[in-house]
Amino acid sequence: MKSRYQNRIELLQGTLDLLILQTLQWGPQHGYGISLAIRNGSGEVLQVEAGSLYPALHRLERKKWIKAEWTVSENNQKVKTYQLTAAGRKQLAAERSNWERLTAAMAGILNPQA
Amino acid sequence: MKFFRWRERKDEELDAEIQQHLDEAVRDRMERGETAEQAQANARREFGNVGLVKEVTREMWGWATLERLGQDLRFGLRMLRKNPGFSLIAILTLALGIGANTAIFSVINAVLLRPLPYDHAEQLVMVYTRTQREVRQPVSWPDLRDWQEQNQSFSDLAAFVPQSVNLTGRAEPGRVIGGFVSANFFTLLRVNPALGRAFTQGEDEAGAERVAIVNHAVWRDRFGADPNLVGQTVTLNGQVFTIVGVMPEGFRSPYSEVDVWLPIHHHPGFLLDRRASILEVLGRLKPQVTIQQAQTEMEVLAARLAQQYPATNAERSVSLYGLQSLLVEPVQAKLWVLFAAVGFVLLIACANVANLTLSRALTRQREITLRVALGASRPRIVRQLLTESLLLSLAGSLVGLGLGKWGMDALVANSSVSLPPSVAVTIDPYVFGFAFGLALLTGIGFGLFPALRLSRPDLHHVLKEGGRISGLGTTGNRFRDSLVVTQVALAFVLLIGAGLMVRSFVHLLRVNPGFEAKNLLTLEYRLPRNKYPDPQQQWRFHQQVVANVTALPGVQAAAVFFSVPNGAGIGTTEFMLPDRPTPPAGQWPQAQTNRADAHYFRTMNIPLHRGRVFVEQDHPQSPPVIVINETMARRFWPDEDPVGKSVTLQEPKLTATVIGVVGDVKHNGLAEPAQPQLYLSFAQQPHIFASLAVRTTSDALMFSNAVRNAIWAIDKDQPVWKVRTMEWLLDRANGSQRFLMQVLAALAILALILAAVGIYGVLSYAVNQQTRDIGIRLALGAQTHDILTLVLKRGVGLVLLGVTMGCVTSLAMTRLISGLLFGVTATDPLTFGGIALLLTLVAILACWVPARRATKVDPMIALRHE
Repeated sequence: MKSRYQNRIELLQGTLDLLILQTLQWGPQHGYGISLAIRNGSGEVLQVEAGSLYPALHRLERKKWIKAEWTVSENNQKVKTYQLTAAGRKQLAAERSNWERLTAAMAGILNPQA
Repeated sequence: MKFFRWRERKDEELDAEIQQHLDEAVRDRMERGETAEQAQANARREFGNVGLVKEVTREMWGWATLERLGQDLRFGLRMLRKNPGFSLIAILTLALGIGANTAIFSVINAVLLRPLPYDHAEQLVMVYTRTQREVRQPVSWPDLRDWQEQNQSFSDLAAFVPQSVNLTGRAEPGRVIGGFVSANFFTLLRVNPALGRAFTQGEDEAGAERVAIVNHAVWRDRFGADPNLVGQTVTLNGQVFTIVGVMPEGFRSPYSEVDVWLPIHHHPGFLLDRRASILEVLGRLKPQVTIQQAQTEMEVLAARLAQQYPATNAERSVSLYGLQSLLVEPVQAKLWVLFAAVGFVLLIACANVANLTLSRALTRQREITLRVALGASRPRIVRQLLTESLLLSLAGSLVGLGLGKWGMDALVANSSVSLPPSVAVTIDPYVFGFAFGLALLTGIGFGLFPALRLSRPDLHHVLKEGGRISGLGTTGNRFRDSLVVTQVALAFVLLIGAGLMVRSFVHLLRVNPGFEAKNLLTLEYRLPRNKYPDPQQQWRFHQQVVANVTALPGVQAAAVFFSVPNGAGIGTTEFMLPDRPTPPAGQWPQAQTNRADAHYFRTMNIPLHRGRVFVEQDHPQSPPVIVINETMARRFWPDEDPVGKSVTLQEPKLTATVIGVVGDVKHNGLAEPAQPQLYLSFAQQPHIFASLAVRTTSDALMFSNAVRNAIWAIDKDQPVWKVRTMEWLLDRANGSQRFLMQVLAALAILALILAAVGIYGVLSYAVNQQTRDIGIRLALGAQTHDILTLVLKRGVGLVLLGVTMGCVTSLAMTRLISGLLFGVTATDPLTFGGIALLLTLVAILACWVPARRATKVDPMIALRHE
């Protein structure tokens, strides 16, 4: 049980951070909302487990790339929402370009004729 | 406190965040048409293990490590308290191992690792005269003065000679150890007296005021810590000295203990003569000068002196030794042997505790499986189990420190270990660090593998089986098997070491000392020269002593002589035979010399082989005579009768006639090889120093007061010392050998027991594991002896593998202790065979119990078990 989570965290570590930062680019969002956005945005391909999502959120918060705020939702519930910081924006840009270089390199290898 | 409040708030927030996530998910699902119950259940399933999510999230907060440690510690303590039997055995086993290591390490730390307690002790060097025959000979005063003036390597050179001194005039006459030093001795060591002053320049020359400095212990014990002692007088060797200083409490003489310090020229043998080589020389190297550079320079200097004074210095060169390496030389090998031995014991102890921990896995498997199922991560479980191991080993090292302190005191109190006096053995921060370092290492050493194994159980299997059978799989078994093999091998090496020492000691005890030690009392005294200046007066005193003591009831015989076998050093002399070609200088044969009176050989029961011994008629005016020993007779007159032959001696210079041949005597311990010995007539060569031997009819020690009083009847101020029985002296001579043997034997027995327990544990576990298998075999008609063979085969196989490995290791290692052996070779087949047999038998015994248990398995119960 445990090892399943662990594999995901290891597999997704960099990617998940990128996905979270990217999702938060469009505005503040709470944990459940982020997981929904990623699932829907990927056409149900990427399922983010809570066991990966919350450690990632708390880690990003500690790195000051995102910051958390307690707000009150429309149905009058206390909600913890996350939003991108300036440092997070810079990190997003950096990770994006990394990602693009990686995918370009992968594509070059996988499709040599192109 | 603030931290805990912060933690609490963070925890609440995390709970709220997760609750919010679940609530939203439920709402979404209900909007999609699921019922409230369905939505609840599905949302939870999708979310996963809440506890685990919380835990992995908390880990992102930093601080978690510290907090987890607290939890682990609390839980670990609870677990250890819940299993007091296991905890106690593990802690005791570890305490024995760590305690033994701490004790030996405290001595090694003090003697070999810590610098001597002097300022820049690494600059301190002993300088000796080197001749072709002896690399370390004392130095003459004129040579020392020339070195001092001409050398560039040393910032200073000082002289030092220890010799006992008669202390009179204050209470009972007593003997103290005098340290006769040049005036610069204390400045060279860079220590100042706590009271008064050190010697000043010129005080070590003839004609200076008679001054003395006392050590702290003497000041405290003999002078009642009198704060006004400086300026008072004491009588030393019959002369009045003014005390000018008291040394500080921690100060110790760099070598051989000293009670009172005196300027060098008061030494009875001191001469301003190049021939009188009596000084030990201590030097302090200048900064940046190495001992090799100093050696090179001093050799050039010595060669120049050899040209200048060919009569005395032709053969002389110099040799330099670092003070510390010189002091530790006699004990170094023994200490490392002991350190290796206790290291082995600790490894065996560790293996046992690892085994215990693994066995306990059987009972804990279900608990741990449950914790994994409830969301504990694997590193978390490993950390938890390691914390428990570390708690055990820390407790072990605490108890071990106590044991180690006790062992250390025992080691130091055992005078036969002969540690240099200048080192103080204490539990210092290094020893503490060592003990706790060992605790960490052992805790991880025995805890890591079981923890890794335990934290990866097969969930389904264990839960289904109710955690009852749950073996640890083949890796676990292989691990345990290798533990047993290692234990047996280590125990074998230790047993071999101990066995060789025991055999050496037995050989040593069988050696004939050359005299009869039973019911023999010896003592020493020195006449004050100013009271008995004339040799004939001295000789009359000695004869009077013999007469008085012989007259005592219960005394069979008494004799005066010079040097007590195994009690004091012995002189040597070069000699040559006038009727043979003279060997070139420096290649003359040597013999040990003693002086004896007419009663000596009878009193000691040294057999006379030829000729006669001394008689009352030998006197200074009659021609000089000597008695030689068998070895000298055989070596120099193999086919002739030595009686009547002439021998020319160097020290004292005389030519004497051999009158008799007596048996060899072991003078410096029973391991001493036979060598030429000769006896001068004490009557012809009287001396102020004398020893007395008394042959009694019953326990010699009972006579010590009567004998002392018999001497005080002649002169009530005459100090008498070293009143000892010959049996005690012989015992002491064998002391360090016996001590090493005893410690090694004790460690080896401990190792044997631990290894046997280890074998027993592993086989018991195996039998438990195979209960079902054995049950099936029995049900299918296997006989008792089939089952016995099955279990024994495994155990004996492991043991034999261990013995083989131990044998190979021992063959490689015993060569390192061959220097400590006597009468046996390092590969003594008898010892190897005997130990292999012993260890195998003990091991089979340890296998036997679980094997018997296996045959008692009831097939029906064993099968229903499943």
